[in-house]
Amino acid sequence: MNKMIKGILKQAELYKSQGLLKEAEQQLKKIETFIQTNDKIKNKEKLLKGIAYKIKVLNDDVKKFEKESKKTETSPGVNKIIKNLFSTAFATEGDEADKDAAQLEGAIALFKFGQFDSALTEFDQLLNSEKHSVISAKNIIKCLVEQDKVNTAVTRFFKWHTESFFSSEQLTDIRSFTENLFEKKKLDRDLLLTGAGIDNISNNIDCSEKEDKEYEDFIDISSIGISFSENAITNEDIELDVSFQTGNVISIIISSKDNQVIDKLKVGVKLENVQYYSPVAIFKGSGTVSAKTKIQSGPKKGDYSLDIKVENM
Amino acid sequence: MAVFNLKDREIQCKVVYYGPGRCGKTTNLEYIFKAYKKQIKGDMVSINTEGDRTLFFDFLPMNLGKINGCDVKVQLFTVPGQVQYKSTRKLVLKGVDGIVFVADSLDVRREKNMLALKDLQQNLKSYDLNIFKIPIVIQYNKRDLEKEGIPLMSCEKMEKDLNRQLKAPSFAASAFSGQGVGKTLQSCLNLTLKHLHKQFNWADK
Repeated sequence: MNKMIKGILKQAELYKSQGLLKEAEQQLKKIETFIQTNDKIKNKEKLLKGIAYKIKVLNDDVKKFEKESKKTETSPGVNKIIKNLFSTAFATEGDEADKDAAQLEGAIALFKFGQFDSALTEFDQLLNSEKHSVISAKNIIKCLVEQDKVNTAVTRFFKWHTESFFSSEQLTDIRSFTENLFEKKKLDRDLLLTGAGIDNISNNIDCSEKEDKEYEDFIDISSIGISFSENAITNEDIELDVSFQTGNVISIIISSKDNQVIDKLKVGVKLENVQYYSPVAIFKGSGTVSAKTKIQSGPKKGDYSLDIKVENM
Repeated sequence: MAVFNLKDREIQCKVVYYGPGRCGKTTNLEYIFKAYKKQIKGDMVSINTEGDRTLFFDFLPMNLGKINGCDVKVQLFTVPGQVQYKSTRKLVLKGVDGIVFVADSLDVRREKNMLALKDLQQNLKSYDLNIFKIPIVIQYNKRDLEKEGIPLMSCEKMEKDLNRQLKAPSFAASAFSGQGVGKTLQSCLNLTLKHLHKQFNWADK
């Protein structure tokens, strides 16, 4: 009997040493049951106590492993190795290597190994690559969603929209990809329909039904005229086309040449005399500058994207 | 996917060690790294391991020297064996030219071996590769544990479980002591290079 118990214990120890923790536990439980049901064994309580302790240690090891397995951040050096090894374009370097294609493959590998921050840096750089900008944008969305940064993903999408970074066809493609991804991840697809994220994304992520309805009901504005009644910059009013609209927030783009206008329209500035041109009529009202962003890339690089919240229309 | 550099008459291929968790894939590479120093052209790289478990992959570059006038380089990889790393295994398998399937001889790992082989077949299929057509060898590892009185499956039983249909070359081995490791690798490299030669006629060019 002793020999049998020792044999199974030996197996349990070996499985443990091989990292086969569950198999080791099974062996220990086998002995535990055997001892419990056998009255002829001496020092039964002591033996059972010892085995229970061994099982506890094993369980702690399993938990520790599961916890540690989730920490997958690797060093920049390792990320470089991953990029090189999983990019076939790198392997052919010296011939007709497409550096952007290689960078893209490397970035995708980083993403697949869960190195989201490093992958994001790579994809961001690739946004300026004509050939790979759309796939990079899609992967940026994917990275952010994987990191549970859905708000940031929506903001990025609308930033590309307002900055006219992509053509409308490309944007439709990215939007469709994002919608599918959201559906797959059981996220709120309406975020992309209502445009939540353009103003203050962290507040807008849980848009109430009332707010959604307000967005749906708001009239389309195609352009605006701003009169500077006080402290006028120029004698004439300025007219600007609306590049994007989400509910009562409109986005306009101001050329980098219009320094005076850019300086004047600071975030928080209240515009008392604004004409809102819609396809059906012209409305007079007021508005507040809610965001101002310098466009960093694309054909409108250097220009400013301005968000104006429409009031009293 | 092998890379040919016709100008420099150089060929680079990829061999992946596949198998269930804790079967000894990394131990195989560690032994190769120690025993074949002449052919090793760099360090063995183990990416992200927890304890001695591989979470990402191991990588070992080898240079086999000139074969039929071509400089032959081989990249050896291992995959993480744990079930939850399926996507990583698939990524490492991309562009594979030859496979060493490392099976665990421990009786308690019988089912895991079969699941790992099925997983390999599925992952290969996702790259339009057929497990019956790709160069593959099977290694029955941990044979040394028989002496310790640990219940192992017989090689015949493992052949029936894993190699009945594949009919791949198979080897009893102990990656821990090194027994059978070289033979396994040599067989896989022979098959792989022959297969690549059939496909691309590289040795005659």
